[in-house]
Amino acid sequence: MRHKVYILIGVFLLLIPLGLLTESPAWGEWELDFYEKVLGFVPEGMKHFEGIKTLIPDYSIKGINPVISYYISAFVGIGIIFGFFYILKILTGRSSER
Amino acid sequence: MHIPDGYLSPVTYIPSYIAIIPLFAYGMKKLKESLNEETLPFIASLTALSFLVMMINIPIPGGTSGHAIGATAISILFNPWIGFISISLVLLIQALIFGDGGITAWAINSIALGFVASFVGYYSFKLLSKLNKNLSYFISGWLSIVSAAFIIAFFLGIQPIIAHTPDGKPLFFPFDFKITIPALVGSHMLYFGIVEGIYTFIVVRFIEKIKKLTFQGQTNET
Repeated sequence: MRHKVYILIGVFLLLIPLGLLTESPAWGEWELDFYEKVLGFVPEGMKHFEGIKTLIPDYSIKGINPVISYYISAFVGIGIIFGFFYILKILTGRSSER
Repeated sequence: MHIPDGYLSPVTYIPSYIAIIPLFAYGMKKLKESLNEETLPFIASLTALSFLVMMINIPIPGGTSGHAIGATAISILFNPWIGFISISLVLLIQALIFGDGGITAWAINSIALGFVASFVGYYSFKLLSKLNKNLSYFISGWLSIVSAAFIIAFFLGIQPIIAHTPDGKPLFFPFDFKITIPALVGSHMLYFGIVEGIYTFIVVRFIEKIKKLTFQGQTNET
């Protein structure tokens, strides 16, 4: 029966493109020019972190359709999560056998 | 929200990393104790669901958006330590791979969205479920995300007070409590708390149904 839990993942996978419908950022997660506009300056500490490169920034891959990028991001995330728990289980299984 | 890099002063994030080490170590121990053939698909799936539900951004009036966390569902179904570790893992993946939330801010984000949300959700559920189980899923979800928003609002709101230039210019996040509390706590009370409540209700009800059929609740203790 436990495979039924994956139904929930399927349902949420169908829903994730809804997350792309809004252009509004989360409160506080503004671009730096927002601070320039509102305060007249960008706080010193905020400037330094511009340009940290991640693998898939903002869940979007250049040149790939946003919905497909979002799905690739979702599968990368899910893969790492399941990988983490499986590896942890294997590691703890071994240590308790000793 | 996830606090990005550059928003918190080192005076805030260095102690937060020190604080999270023992919590994380104990949480990992709790997770390892619960992790087996039966529980793994559930714990991993609930963690994946948290990751997915955080991708579903919901716009609200005022030009911002937000999402549920899913910490309470994991905490009710397993225990709050597992909720904490699962959400922290999601936040780590988001920060390192998707640039969503900061690496320096990871510990504060994990303490708020992971630790506080999980424990508030779990204990409010324990307390309220005696009165009405169905309603308590919703309320504990609502309370958990509102508490997390409060913690985030607190750590953002102290930044202009503790970190500024001699002439008073903020060095990091520039808005204080008067702005962060109403904006973050208010929006989570009105909107995202409702979403978290509904998510908790649906997910816990669904999983409890399957769990009953799969194995007899052996993990639901702290």
